Amino acid sequence: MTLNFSHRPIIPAHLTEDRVSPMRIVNSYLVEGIPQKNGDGYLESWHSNCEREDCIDYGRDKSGGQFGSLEPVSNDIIDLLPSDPFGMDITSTFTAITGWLEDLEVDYGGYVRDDVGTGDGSHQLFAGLNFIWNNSMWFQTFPGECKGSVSGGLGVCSQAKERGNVSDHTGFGSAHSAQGILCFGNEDMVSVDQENDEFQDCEVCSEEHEGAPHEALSFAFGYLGLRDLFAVESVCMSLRSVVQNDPLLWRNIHIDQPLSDKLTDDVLLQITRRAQGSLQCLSLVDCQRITDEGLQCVVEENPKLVKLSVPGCTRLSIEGILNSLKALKSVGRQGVKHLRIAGVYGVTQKHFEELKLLLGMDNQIQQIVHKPHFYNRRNVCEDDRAIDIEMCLRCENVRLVYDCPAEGCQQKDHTAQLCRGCTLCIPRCIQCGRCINDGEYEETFSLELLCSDCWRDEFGCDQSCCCVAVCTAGHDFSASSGI
Amino acid sequence: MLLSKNSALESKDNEIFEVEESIAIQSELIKTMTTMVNSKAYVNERNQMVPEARCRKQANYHVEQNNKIVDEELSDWESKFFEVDMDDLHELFMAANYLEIESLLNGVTKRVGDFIKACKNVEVIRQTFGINNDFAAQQEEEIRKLNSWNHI
Repeated sequence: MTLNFSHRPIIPAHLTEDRVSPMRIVNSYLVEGIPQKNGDGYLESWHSNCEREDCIDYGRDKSGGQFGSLEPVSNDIIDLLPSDPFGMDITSTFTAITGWLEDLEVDYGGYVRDDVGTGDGSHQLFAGLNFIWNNSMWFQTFPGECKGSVSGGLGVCSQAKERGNVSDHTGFGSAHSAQGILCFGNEDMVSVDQENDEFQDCEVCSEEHEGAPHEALSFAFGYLGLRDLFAVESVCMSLRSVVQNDPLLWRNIHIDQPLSDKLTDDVLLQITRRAQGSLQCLSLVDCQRITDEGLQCVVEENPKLVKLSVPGCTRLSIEGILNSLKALKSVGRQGVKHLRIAGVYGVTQKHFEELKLLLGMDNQIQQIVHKPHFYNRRNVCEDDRAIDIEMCLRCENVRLVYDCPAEGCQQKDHTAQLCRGCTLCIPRCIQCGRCINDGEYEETFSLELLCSDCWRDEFGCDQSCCCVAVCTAGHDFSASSGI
Repeated sequence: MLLSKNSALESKDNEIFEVEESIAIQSELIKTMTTMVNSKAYVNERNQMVPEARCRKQANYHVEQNNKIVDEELSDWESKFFEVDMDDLHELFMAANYLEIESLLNGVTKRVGDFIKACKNVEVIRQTFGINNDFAAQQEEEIRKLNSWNHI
């Protein structure tokens, strides 16, 4: 067996060939010449000795007198046999292993201190941890018969440590934590290595001013969404002040999931205040905690608001929105020009007329042809029309009205037969937006409709049995988003 | 076909690049210098601050950009051009900033933005850009409280 580092052998080679474990204990003394903690003289010798033979001979010489089994004095076979050959006496096992590992700590401490010298603390820590990691790996690849005992011993050791039987050396604190790491699995050691790598990468890419953010970073903030801006804000003080005090970054605010669920009126006001009155576009998607009062506060503080989009904000009412828009107009501003209020219920014709007035739509040419608006899951109107809702010609309610992408519906030019209406009048497939003819669709668990083609694309079968929770044919529809 | 005027740009390490004037003046700095100097067929400018590699990159960037008329091709080429590591990006930024080339600056900063977006949390941002955490413990606590709504 070869030993990989030169300071001292942990387990003398010759002894492992004929012993089961290097840590066999006789009467709580170690047998093979590995000294226990009480023998202080041994520790120093272990530090300084580099020759394997010297160590072993030294240990043997010194310990020969203590270890009765090495020099039997009687011929009785019973006296010749060791009393605890398999380490069954738990307390002595603990003591021995603890002592053994304490020896390791002291030794490693000396080794690392000598090697690393006066590097800064964290570097030393990483170097030390890496050293121990490398050597623990060596332990793990030790000859098979020792492996079980070493790892078992380490596991036992962790418990012993936790109970407070801790070695009392304080010089190399990180070795203690490294000791803890030795006792755990490989995962922790891997993370130590990763930290070390990242530490080195950090040094490589640091800029001229040690650890200060580069000026280029602030240029990039304009490309970041809200979540990333909040992350950047927490990085350091200078970036924090840049993010919080630059109104240009907060001119267009778009709030989507997962922030939508957490957004309250107070937080919204806090965010919009960063625009310092220059907010132009506000988009709140599915922000179900925002109330009419909150929205009104925001709008009043930002008179330059031009685009307001609040789809899915269920606590907003049409009256509240109208009040907010009126407040803007009353201060003489041009007011909001683009409004998205899909999902706000109870919009009557009267509300609609008022909205059109506030948005200045009566001044526009009524026959502006906008891009066709198709039904989809996202349910957001993204073109530049003034308002997303309109009057459905079939039921005369003011709702979202959709065009039809189906080829058969494109050629119809007689207005009455135009495939254009709200989803109550013309049911549509949620996936492709086409109108659904009788008998050609399936309904999903979320009460969405899928035409047969989209059903086949999503679930790969035509069976209506897939509508139920457990398909008797065993079809797997766990990958679909509709269910 | 008229031969366009060429500008010769000398970089910090004394390498001379010849670029078409129409490309060279995309840099605001060069444009200003050119108009001030009263440009002729051969204009020799000095770019003392810009080392060679950067200058070449500028020249390449603009030549390619002008050649690629089709939008799709341009965006593909641009995304490949900016797929560089942090050090190169840093150099490109310094060059674009000094030479005041807006399109290059936009491309670089967008890429930096992509880097930031790819970071999973604040600690990774710090490590990627080599930024030290200079908040006091109390300030960190305050920030955590203020942002607690974000972490519910």
